[in-house]
Amino acid sequence: MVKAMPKLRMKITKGESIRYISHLDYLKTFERILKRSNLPIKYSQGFNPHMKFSFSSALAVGVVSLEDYVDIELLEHKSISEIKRCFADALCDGIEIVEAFYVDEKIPSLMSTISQASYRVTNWIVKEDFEKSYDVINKFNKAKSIVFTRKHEKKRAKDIDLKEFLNGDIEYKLEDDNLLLFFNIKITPTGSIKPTDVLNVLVDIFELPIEKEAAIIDRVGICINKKE
Amino acid sequence: MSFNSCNFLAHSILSQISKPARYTGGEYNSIRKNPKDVDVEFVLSMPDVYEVGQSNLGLKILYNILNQRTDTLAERVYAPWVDLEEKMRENDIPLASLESNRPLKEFDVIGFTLQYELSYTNVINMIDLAKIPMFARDRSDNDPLIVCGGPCTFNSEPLADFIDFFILGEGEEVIEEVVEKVALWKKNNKIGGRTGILEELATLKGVYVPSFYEVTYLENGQVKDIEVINNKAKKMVTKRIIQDLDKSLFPLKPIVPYIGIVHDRIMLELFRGCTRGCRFCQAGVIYRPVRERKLETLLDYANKLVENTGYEEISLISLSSADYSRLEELIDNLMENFKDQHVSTSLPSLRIDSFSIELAKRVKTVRKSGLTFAPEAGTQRMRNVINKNVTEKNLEDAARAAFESGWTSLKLYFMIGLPTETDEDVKGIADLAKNVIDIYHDVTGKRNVSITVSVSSFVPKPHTPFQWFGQNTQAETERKQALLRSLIKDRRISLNWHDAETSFLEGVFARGDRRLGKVILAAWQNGAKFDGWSEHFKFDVWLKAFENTDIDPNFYNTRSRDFDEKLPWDHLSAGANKEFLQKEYECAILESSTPDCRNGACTNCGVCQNLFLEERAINGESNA
Repeated sequence: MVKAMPKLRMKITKGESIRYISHLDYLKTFERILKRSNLPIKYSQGFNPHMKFSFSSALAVGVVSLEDYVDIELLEHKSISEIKRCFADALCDGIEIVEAFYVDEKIPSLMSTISQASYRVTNWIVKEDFEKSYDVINKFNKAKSIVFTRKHEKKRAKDIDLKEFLNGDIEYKLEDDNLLLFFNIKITPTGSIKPTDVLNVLVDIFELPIEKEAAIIDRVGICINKKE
Repeated sequence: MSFNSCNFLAHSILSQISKPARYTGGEYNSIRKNPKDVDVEFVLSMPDVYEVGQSNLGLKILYNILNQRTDTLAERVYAPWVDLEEKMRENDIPLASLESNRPLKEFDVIGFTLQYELSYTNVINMIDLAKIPMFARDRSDNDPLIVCGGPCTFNSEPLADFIDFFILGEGEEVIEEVVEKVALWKKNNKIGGRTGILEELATLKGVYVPSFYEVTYLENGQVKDIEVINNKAKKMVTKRIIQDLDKSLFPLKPIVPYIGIVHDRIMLELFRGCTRGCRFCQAGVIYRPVRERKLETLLDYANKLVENTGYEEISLISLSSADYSRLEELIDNLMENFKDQHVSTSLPSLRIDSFSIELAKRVKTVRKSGLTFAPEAGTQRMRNVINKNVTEKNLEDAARAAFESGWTSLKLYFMIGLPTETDEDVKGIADLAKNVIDIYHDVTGKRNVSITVSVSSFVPKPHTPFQWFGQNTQAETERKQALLRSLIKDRRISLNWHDAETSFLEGVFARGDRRLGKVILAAWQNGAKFDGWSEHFKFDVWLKAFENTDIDPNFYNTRSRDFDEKLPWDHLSAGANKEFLQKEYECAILESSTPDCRNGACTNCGVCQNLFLEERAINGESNA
């Protein structure tokens, strides 16, 4: 019987250079980082053992995350400074360790404790459209309920109230020729929405004068209920 | 537009195409150098998508060799998938490298590896996307030199119009000689212009400059003569080989891609060459002679590769890995060394014998994916013709051993369309599959077995004993496929076969000559590209291209040649003597076998003598 070990929790990034990799590729990439780190990672039992680590949430292709959490199970205790040293040469472009600390091994999984994700969307916009954009966003913010139909390739289309999943208003800011949008999406046990859902509604229903394909989406933060 | 700071493609384009990470580079172990710090800039390429190109071991080797030189940088580029190509053409974006995102036009040398004939249209498509003049003769001193390497260069002729020079054989040493020539030429203000550097390169062993040769034709369309028209060029270009693999640079820090690629694992190359002498096999000739790496070298490489990549699997690669002289020891050592690190070992190919089954039991991948055997032909007679020295009993023993060890499925590879083949031989494939099912029943008492029979159509290749043989017509191939389908009704056998149309085209280019350049161009102009991908293969476009250029494809693929016909690749040598190949063809007709020279007597193929190899076969034993 292996005695219980605290979990290693790390706050990491999915940076610009790996913006376009899928979540599955991101996991694989992280697994290879762990392997290169030579840390004593715990493996699952069974015929095809795999490393015991888990991420807070999945990110879409094309989305960068300044904050991501990962829990890793180790076989033996290593000091945080030693851990950081092991990762130094193992990391690849785009993945940085912002913070590392130990949490109790019985802590609920990251997936179940994440409650909110904050996004920044950068849109190129022409000067003449500034006014219109403000109006659109204000109109969006004032609406009590915004129902849209989410289409799935395989599942049946479903009507969802966007507002139920937004925490607070969409905030905006102009920076050079870019319109920056900030919003918080709730992550609940019954589901959530994607940042592209918000963007689609803004452009398709509210006629925000931006080019959806050129919008750069970054996840700037996530909230986890910290119970140490 | 808001541009992604690290890419030549705008985010608005990357967000609309499939697998954008194919084009953004930055992978672990990829190398970025400042162009200002070097004299020569290379781009290495395979004319296929990232997942295929990034899996090629040859390119990994060259990338490493070029980049360890302080005077050289090497970057990469692969073929953009059709969705990106459309956007690039729409927005007038030139093809750029993965590392620095600079247009290919800015580099000194662009190197393509030619792994299969059906990638030729992609080569010219990429040259066009790079906005470089399509024809070699139209390029200026400021355009990059375009070079091709890889197996298809042993008949470079179909691409002769488009490529500045070809490298035959192993590139490790000659690529450095090319760098030195180009560096000197640039230092001397490109003295002599493009012809100047090509003349210099033509003096290197293994380098073929097609524009320095003139081909004349007889009235019947056959080659009359291949004449050297520049005195710097050699009458015969012979391939390069590395004498001692242990002394050549092997990439111990290969790039670890972010996205899944075809061979997403450590590739540990055990040896080069294969001397089994299967008469249909081009690799068996062009990669000769056999040269093994020492066991100690391989174990050392494995340690470093695991450390430097984080890969979870080591694949033991070579033309027939089970022939490595110390394979058992190697596998035991690897399994022991990496037990705690959860790194598995895999064998991509197996010999048909019970020894191989024993090995397969120990390694991982085969356990997952099932066993594959390649008897190649269905009857003993046919196997004698092709010199596949495997008996019915070998196969029965191997199948028995596999089923006794718990496997419930087997994959069997065959070819149809081989010389002297009769319907009896085709029927033999079905009989053999049925026999394997009976063995399963005999061993286990059960019936839940599944056998996959994969049948490809034989394409005669240059530099093989069958280079004179007329390929089966498309109709004949389809008739044999139908015959086989009618003979295999058992639902436990699933039958796969190759599309006769792609084999037809492959057959044309495999033994083609320079006149095919205009066919490639015409087909490309009408939209042919990614011909190796069934969803993009446009046979009608190709037929039209042959018609419009007034070239009969059957002249190249289905026509039998006489032994005294001048062949378009007669000035390109893989080291094997033509007399040897002819003798082997004659033995084939007599159904007589030629033993493997690895352990037996020299078969006088000529490779060791022609390439001045010090020892006939260097094996994995320490020479101490």
